[in-house]
Amino acid sequence: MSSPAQKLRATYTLEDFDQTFLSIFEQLGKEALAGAVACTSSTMALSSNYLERDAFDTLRQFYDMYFNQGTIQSKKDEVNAAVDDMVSYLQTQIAAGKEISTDIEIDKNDEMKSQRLSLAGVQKQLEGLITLDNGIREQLIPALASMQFEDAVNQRLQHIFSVWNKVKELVHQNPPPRDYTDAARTMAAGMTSVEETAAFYEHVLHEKAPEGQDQRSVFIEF
Amino acid sequence: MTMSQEQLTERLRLFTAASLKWCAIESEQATGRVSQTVGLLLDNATRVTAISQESLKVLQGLRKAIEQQTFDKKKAPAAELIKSLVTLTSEHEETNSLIGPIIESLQFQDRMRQNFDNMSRMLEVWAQQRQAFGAKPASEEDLQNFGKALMQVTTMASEREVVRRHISGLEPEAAIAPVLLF
Repeated sequence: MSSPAQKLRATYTLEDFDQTFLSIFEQLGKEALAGAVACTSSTMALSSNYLERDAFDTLRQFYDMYFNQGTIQSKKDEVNAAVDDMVSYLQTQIAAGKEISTDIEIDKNDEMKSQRLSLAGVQKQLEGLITLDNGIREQLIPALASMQFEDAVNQRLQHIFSVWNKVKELVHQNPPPRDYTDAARTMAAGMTSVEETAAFYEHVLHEKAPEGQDQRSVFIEF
Repeated sequence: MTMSQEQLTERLRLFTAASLKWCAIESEQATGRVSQTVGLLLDNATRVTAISQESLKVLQGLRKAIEQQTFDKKKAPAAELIKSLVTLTSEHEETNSLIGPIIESLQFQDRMRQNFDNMSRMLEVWAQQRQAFGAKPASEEDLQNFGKALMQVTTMASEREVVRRHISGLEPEAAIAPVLLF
């Protein structure tokens, strides 16, 4: 006869069941993302066959800066949200006919300010690359497009994992919420691209994304 | 209007499926980028790298094959294209270093698309099983059956391995019988 402890190990609550699935799901997502990273790597390897050494070095440097600086990558969404807050603050001030303070809250946070400026630096470097003479620009496009794809897939997957982990937390809390609308709206604020935001509002909230929130894109037009 | 737990999970499932579909479609675009890269390689090959006329011909054929696959999706699935590329490299050794990354890129793209499609299917399996379990605790056998149901919607051994790593007691991958010629 099995002991209570063994019996306990042989049964799974709905929370255990959800956790098991989410772990599998996340692992598969990570494998898919590894595929996207490998695609960029192959495209870079191909590009090295026809790009001039200097252009390729700049491209490689840009890639390292864009993806390998963990602080930039992990804080990107946070910085995007903070910039949205700043825009919203300015709009409110203008609408209320008030003076715009240059010392707004977002830049009081030094860390956030430096992250925002680092990202601006990344953006500048990208602009520098794509505004080079037309021939080089054409040569850089496949690799840059591949990097953007990797970034976009990463963002999409992170958002998917984040919303499902939040749902798991909410449905297993005691007592669970009676209405999940507010939670869904908080999740919507975490979406970062045009298509993703629009899809979230359409499928989850059954409404159109608010003005401005459906106009951000992860892709830069070359 | 309130949103219940069931409504939220079902709607999020649809959103997730849409997001994964977007990823799958975007990963298919990677084939187009490979074609673009081969084009650039052909345009610049004589300037930057030393490629023989024979290899250039091979690359031209390759570009055509990829473009055909990109624009006529019904014609050749990525796996078919990869197979013909592997044959091509074995016939023209000199092109190995050039075609190698192309094959790799196409293989990763194909695997990625399958990953995204299968993740979406798995989410559906989870939603169904979740409903079936209700509030009662699941047994070891229930969990294993769930694992089997998940594995049924996979297409790659690596995906099934992930399921096995999280759910114990599932049968290992059937070993492929060696082909004996004599």
